Amino acid sequence: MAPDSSLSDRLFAVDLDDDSSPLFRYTFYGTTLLILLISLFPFYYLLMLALSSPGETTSAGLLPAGFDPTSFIGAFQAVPFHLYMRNSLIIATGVTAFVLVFASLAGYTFGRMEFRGKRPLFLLLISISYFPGATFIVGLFKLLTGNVTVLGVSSPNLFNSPAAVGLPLTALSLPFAILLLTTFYSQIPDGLEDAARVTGTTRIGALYRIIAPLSAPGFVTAGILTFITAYNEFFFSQLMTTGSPQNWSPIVWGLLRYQTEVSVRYDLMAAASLIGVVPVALIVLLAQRKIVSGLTSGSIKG
Amino acid sequence: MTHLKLDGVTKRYSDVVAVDDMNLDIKDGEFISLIGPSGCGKSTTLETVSGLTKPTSGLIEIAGTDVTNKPPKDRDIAMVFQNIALFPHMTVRENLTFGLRLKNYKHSEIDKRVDQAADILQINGMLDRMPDELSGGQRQRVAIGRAIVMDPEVFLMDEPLANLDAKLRVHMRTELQRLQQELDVTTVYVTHDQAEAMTMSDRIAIINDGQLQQFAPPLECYNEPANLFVAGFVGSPSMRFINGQINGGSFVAPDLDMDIDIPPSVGANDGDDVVLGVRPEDVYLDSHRTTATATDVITMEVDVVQPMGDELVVYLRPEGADVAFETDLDEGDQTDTQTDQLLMTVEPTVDIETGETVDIALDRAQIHLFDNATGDALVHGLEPRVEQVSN
Repeated sequence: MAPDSSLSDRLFAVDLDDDSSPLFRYTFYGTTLLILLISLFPFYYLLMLALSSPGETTSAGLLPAGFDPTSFIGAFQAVPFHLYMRNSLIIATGVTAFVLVFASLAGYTFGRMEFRGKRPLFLLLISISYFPGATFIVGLFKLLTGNVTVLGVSSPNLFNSPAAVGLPLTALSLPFAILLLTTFYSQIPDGLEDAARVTGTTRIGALYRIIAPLSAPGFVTAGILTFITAYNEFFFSQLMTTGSPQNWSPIVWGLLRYQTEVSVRYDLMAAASLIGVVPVALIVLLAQRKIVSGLTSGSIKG
Repeated sequence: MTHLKLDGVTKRYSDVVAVDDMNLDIKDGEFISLIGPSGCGKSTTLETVSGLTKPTSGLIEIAGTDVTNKPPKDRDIAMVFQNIALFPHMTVRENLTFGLRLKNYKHSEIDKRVDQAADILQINGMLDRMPDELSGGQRQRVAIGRAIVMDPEVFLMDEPLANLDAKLRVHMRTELQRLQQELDVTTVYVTHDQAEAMTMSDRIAIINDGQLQQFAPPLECYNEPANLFVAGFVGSPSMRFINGQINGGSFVAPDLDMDIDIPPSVGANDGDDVVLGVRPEDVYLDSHRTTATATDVITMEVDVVQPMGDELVVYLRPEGADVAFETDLDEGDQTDTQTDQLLMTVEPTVDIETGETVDIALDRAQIHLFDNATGDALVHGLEPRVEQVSN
């Protein structure tokens, strides 16, 4: 397959030759269409809402009720939504960076080294991801607001700071990223790492110059999943911030601000939601090539 | 001058000793091979030199510097691996320059070295290709190129030709030999292929069970093996052994009508258990005797005849004996001494058939005697018989 073929070409490069029966063909396209419809309809409906006139959003259907595209500007006038977006982007970027660094080191250790207690330790780590975030809520709140004292040392007060949201998110995103990277790193032949080390790098150098680039699909996937989780996050930020953009409140706080005691501006909310999706969509678009090329080429042969 | 020195290097895993007190003094520009059956510790020995494995005890010196505790990157070595191990996400040029870029060489210097290496290895046309676009031989050349550009003190090669097909292997062997003569860099070469070791090396180190058996030039290992293991390992088809005893100044094998007088200079005493070793080319048909130093005639039965083209390999067994069928297939399993069976090579024109009884003689000058208990060699080649001298 040519390397420049688009994502859609690759995804739909199903071999429907002349022999396949019409039934198979119709079922295939029918199912594909249905899945697309289900996943894309919410976006379509958001767009219709955003384009509706302010007072008529409740009657918007497959077409907008009235027509008022200014909501995309009004959304920023009513609420400083760009600041909420900035907060979310910073927190998500930070969390992703930390997760990738730590998950790489842990993935290297679990995937490429032998040591006593490796299996139990790995299972313990993975089991953390089985707990819902809500389980930790009271403890975390006390810990991160400076209310826990161990041996006379008080925990830091991180209320209204990006770390208050970022730390728990990093911790909760790590297990899955480690699981993913462990699998990928363990498949890189030992010879490549040995060659890199003899030729002039340290183990860590070999990890970031050879092993991680060769595990690009896993690396990128872990990064994107973490980024999306952190970008969409509301649970911890609702607990750890006051809701004002100066206090590092993220996007979902921003969206809620369109709801006042007297009215809910669904058109502005819809417009803001669509704008909020843009960064993630861009990142996925940029990264899709790595993901797909990695999946199709099986590039880790020695 | 000693250039690479292993002093008492030992590598112990939890319950296995992989390398046991290895001592090697390798001269500048020398090409040496580490050879032995699989699992004998030859690769582990190389890894301790490369720094990829840390020895449990012992000392490693490269060019007069103690590198025992230095990481691989600071040892001034370059290595070629069995699985070639080119970085698949880099072009050939990036593969070649990987180490130089890490060491912050100037662009002009990097280009110069890459051009030189590419010229030597004839890979000029493929510098911008990816490894998976190259053939097996080309990849191997790039891997060697990656080592050459580093201009190291020592080349380490871990079975670099093992993954190539037979024809290419012989070709690359010649190229490697020529290259080593041209570059004159100290080289340690690990292989299980004794033909490679014999043809390429200045000296070979034969290793078994983690212990050095003999470290000597190839022909010395062949003609004067230090012990039973080396005798059985070097040479193909391999030396055959006959268990026997010294009795009245002669070697006597119980199941074989064989009585070879042993000169007193050997120092063997009556009643000593000894093993007699003889190579196939030193066994003759009595009717085709070509040497004056032959033993008395021994009568044996032809077990199997293998035509090799330029010669016939004849498996012999004691007359009437029912010997288990043993061939030379697995070179790794020659530690067991095969007894009461002899191999003989004869001209392809000789008419010889399975089941036939033949009269043979051994060349006394090429007989080896080993101590059965320790395996150590007692003597290589017996002096002519006393009565012949007196004639």
